[in-house]
Amino acid sequence: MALLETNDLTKEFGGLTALNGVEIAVQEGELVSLIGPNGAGKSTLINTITGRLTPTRGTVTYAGNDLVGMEPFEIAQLGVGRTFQTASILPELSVRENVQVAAFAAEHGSFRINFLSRRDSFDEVQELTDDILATIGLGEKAGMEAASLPYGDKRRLEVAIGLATDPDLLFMDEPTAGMSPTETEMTVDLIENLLSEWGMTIFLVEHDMDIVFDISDRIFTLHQGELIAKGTPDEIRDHPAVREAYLGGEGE
Amino acid sequence: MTLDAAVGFVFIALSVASLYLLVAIGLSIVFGSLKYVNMAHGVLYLGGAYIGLLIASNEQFGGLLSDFGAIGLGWGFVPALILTPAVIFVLGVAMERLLAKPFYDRDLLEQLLVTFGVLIAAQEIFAIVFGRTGTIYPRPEWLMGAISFPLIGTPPGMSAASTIRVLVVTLTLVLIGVIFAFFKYTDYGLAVRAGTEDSEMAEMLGIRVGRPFLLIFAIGAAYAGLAGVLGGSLFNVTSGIGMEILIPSLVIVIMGGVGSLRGTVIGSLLAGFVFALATVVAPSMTQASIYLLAIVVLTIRPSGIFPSAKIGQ
Amino acid sequence: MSTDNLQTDVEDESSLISVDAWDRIKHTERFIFMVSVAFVLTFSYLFSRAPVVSDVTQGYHGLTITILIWSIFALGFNLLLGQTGLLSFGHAMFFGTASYATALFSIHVFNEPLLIVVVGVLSALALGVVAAVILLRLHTVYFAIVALAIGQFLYFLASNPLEGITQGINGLEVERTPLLGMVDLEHEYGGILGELVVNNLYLFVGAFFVGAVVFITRVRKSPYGLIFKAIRENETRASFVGLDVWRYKFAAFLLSAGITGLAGALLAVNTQFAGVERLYWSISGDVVVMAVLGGLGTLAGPVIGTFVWFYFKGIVNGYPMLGNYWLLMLAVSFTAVVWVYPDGIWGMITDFTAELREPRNLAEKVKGRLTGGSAAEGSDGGER
Repeated sequence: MALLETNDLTKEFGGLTALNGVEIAVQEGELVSLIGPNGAGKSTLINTITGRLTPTRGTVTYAGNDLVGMEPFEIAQLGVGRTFQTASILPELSVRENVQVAAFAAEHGSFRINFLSRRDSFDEVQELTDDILATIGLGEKAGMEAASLPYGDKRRLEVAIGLATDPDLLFMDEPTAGMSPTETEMTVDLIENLLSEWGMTIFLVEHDMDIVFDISDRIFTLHQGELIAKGTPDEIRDHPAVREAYLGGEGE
Repeated sequence: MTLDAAVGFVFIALSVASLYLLVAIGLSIVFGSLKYVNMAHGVLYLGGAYIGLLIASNEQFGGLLSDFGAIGLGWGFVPALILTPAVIFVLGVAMERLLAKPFYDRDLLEQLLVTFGVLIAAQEIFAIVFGRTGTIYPRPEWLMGAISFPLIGTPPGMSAASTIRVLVVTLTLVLIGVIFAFFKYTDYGLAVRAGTEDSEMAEMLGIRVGRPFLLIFAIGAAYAGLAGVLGGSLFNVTSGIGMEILIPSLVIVIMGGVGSLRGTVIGSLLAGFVFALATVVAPSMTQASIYLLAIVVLTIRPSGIFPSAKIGQ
Repeated sequence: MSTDNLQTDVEDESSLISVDAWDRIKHTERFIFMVSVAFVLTFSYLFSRAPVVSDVTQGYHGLTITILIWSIFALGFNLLLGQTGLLSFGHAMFFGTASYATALFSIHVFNEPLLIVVVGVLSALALGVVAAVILLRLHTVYFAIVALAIGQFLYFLASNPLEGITQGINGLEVERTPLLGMVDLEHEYGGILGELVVNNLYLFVGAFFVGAVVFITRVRKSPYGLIFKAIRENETRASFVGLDVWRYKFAAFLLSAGITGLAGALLAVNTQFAGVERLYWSISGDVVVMAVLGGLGTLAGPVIGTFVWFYFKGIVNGYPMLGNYWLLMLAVSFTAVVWVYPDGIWGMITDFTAELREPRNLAEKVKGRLTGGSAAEGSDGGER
């Protein structure tokens, strides 16, 4: 059974149909990518799955749970994490605290988390935080105020927050946007590391086609709110509808 | 209830609603279109009341003015009614440029705090200059008692509706008509409306800080100034009236739905009638009634009666 | 730690080490506890009896109790605005309600200082639950104004319809009874203890002040303290990492209501009175001014803000020329703080000491200012 499955997922804004009958399935341990031209509905799809938007109709099932109608925090607590396209960090907190908040959130069931326990006494949270900061390469900047980080680091912190929630399925919304080539390379390495070492399932939205075709197991193509193609990178590369809708520009 | 009593009741309700409406309308438009919440709006009402007083009459004040004898032009009530809004219009322009503009891009809570500080400071300045005791508007003869027209005298059923209240209600009706017409028929009004409905688009086009908004800010100010004169002649004038009128007005704006003209009008009417009703059925609840109404309405509809602008729900 | 570090004079390294150690110590709970105890023990003396400090405040021991109580209020308010980012313009509702509950319980049920204070806190918590259900669905200005509306509703409710219970503007009297039936709160000490704390009432209030500071410190150091800040910074993000934002806001709201209730109850015990003016909007406004002026989001800020406020109200107010302008000066300072320096007085102090530590930075900043580099500074403030 698929880890994540949508059925006839449709989202309308007034008269505008942003998503139309989208059906996708993601298997555990996969890296799938979502591509499509600007305005194709990629962000709407992520927002509808992760609870920011309520679909007009259709279902979203994650590990046997119906996600439609759930609050974003409930979906996150089920193990669905996400990173945002624009760095959505906590500007006035330190880098370390940014990650720590998410790490505490991952411990949601625990009664030890209350307003009279000390943060310092949560060893597992501290360890997870340190781990992630080291993995993501922000260990040395842990004490800095998040707002004062350079842009590329903010984007990495964004990914770090997503990781710290300890998700099984992670939505990454354009994680390399605005990054330098070196940073992009590091992010790609990180994604591969997450798959192999952390055993995560990743749902990637990405503009950089080289990355998408390089690392994805499967690719979904969205165009004007409709899923026009899905398959392996090779299948998508040769898919006539995709070429027409999306890659057509390159062919000329 | 006799006809006279009923008419009297309606005019109490409408006149209270009118005062709130004249103050709230500017607050609501500015909040809805400029995303600017302005507690210093209360200064405009306060300023209107005192400037009107200085124009209309000649009073001995306390405070720093106590040594100067009676002060004021003494031109009477009608000149005050006409000139005060003009003066407050200018004050509104200054307020928009100096106080509001630097804060358009800042946090709503910071706007709230800074304008609260300005309101308290202004009230203190008025208290220091004019003294802390209240003053009463001298009402001209023709404003006293029931309304009476030449030739026909007092129309049937109107004997319990005092002239001042009829005047307040009539003026408000006209002025609200003007606002609606402004939004419907003028280019400036359309620009502001577009900005309210789609602030991002408007911002992109750069009209948010443009002249239409300055104009509507100043018109809202002038209305609050006029309300100061009218409210001053219905109630007492003290340095604290700015905050006193501002609190229910803000509550009405939120209750009606920020930025919605209909919402503000209906919110004011509701508040006026609940107020008047309370004076009849439960006099002790008169002042609490408006807040109870707002709490009930906002518990049922957290975005107000007509949620139009999507700011903070 | 070796002591020679402290003795070597200007060597860069050694001064760095001691500064680091100081940074560690000053944030420990034990240190904050000791500072608050030391503050309570010396505050009254320094303010109202120490011969060197100033003669204008001589004999104002009573004012120091008031300042301690209002500091608790400002700290409770700050927990909501400074920590969680929720501005309540109606916090007087908890202050006044707790005052009334304290007085009513002492009159109608049982009168023992500790017990009636507990009752006051519980009443504020109960009101907090009801208010939270209404308010926590609202954001920013809506939250602030509806809180104000609830406060004003309770004010008018208490002043008129409930006059039979609250005695309207006459208020209720709280008779003073011995603590736990044994300790006379008005007992005055002699000797050094008398010089420092004067009487048991001061100690009673002072103990609650220390307790409130310690409690709030712990909350700030708990996971909740961090989560409150996360909600203040970015509510959407907080919910997408899996935090039930409503629940944490509810917790912050109740903590704030309870601490405010403690202040209201203590004021009833201190003044032996509970009146309707404690529900009025101006009380809410005063505490906003105190917390913001002193510095939001910190422990020292609200206490400093409260002190400054009462210094103006209690002392400057009595000056022959300036007295009339005390509230105007406060309002103008408050406006200026929000406008140009949102970190408040305590923020100015910490920034200043931080710059003293880094003489090079300070020199550069001064140079930057002189050469017209203040534009960057201005945009920095605008972002907040």
